[in-house]
Amino acid sequence: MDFYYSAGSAPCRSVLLTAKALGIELNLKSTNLMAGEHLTPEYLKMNPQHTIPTLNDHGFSLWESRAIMVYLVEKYGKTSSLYPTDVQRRAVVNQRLYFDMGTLYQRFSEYFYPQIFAKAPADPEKLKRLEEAFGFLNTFLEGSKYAAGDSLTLADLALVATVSTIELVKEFDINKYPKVAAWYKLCKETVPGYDINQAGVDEFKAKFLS
Amino acid sequence: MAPLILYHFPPSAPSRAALLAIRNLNLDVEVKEVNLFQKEQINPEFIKINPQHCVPTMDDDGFVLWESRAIAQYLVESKAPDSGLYPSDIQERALTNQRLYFDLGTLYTRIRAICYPVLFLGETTIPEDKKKQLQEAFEWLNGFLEGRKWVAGDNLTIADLSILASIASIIHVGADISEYKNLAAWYENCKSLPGFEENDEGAKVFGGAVKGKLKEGF
Repeated sequence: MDFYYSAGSAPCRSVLLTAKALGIELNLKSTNLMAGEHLTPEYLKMNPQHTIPTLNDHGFSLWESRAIMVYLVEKYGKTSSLYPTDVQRRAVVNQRLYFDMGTLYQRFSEYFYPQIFAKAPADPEKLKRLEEAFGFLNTFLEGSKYAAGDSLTLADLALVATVSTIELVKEFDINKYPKVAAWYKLCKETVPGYDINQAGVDEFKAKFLS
Repeated sequence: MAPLILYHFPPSAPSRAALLAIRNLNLDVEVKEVNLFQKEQINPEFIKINPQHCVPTMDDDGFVLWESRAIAQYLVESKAPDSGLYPSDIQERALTNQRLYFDLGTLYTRIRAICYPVLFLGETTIPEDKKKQLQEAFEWLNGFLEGRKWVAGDNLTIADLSILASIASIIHVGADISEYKNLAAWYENCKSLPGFEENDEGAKVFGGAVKGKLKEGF
């Protein structure tokens, strides 16, 4: 199974964590966006939207990190508790996955990427919206150990990739959100192969924040 | 058993997507309107139900859930797993999920990037680069539909319903999809779906609100 990715990208890292947790070996294809490796005819044939991550499972190509994570569990980890079979528990995992994409990661991108890619000044309104998203996550974590209940799920693997990236923003203090801070520490201690994520965060930091 | 409750605001595309799923599954529902234009979502009673205070929010006999696409998937899996609206084949399901995430992260995000500043930040024109980004999303969607009747295959899925809610909103703001042949044909097919008219009415209210603040057309 070929996996096209960049280690610095949070969505790519969440898939790497999923594969690790499931014990799946991916054939890693590091893809350099700056060099346009996602715009070659071969890549476009596989994924016309030319995004990373992209999975190519023996001719079946799939993109969108969270869709890939669910696919890996359903295809190769049927007995895994990472994506519960109980419909209500599964629904909560999905809600968190959509929250991660549409609210948390989105607000981080809106606040942070203009600063690093367009050298724009920090927008305090956008920071407020990011802080609000952290407040929501803090509320979700009241009364449960992990993001969607008391055991580790795909929701944690997606969210931890995002949160570990945001932690790099120096004006952002994760300790203002005690439940998030405690959960983040727990993830660092209990997510299988967490060092894969950390290595990507460090790469991101070296590339964009030094 | 208490009926399914949907906290809904008709102009909101995600909210309409959840209602479209309910209509296509032919479920009984009690719709409770939460008027976002009147900021009713930040009433303490609603925050108690959903701390993220967004619509749609569903209450299924005490099980509360938000995020329209998670609601649609839950409703299929819990009420009508054999309906085909959320396929059981792993690859078809993966493609459905990819389209749902495409809608949230690309299509709807680009629609929102156009409409939000007009509705809430006093902008009166649509910047060219944002139009181009939307057109790019239309092109991708048009490509997904190449050789397929529906966005994730030959059968209708909740991804179609989610994308229909988004597309209807921007059509009523004035976007033209006619040059995207597959997309235009798909939209025609959608017109016979249960709840199409109801969705269209909400989209018209949304489109009218945006158009009313624009100096010139789309």
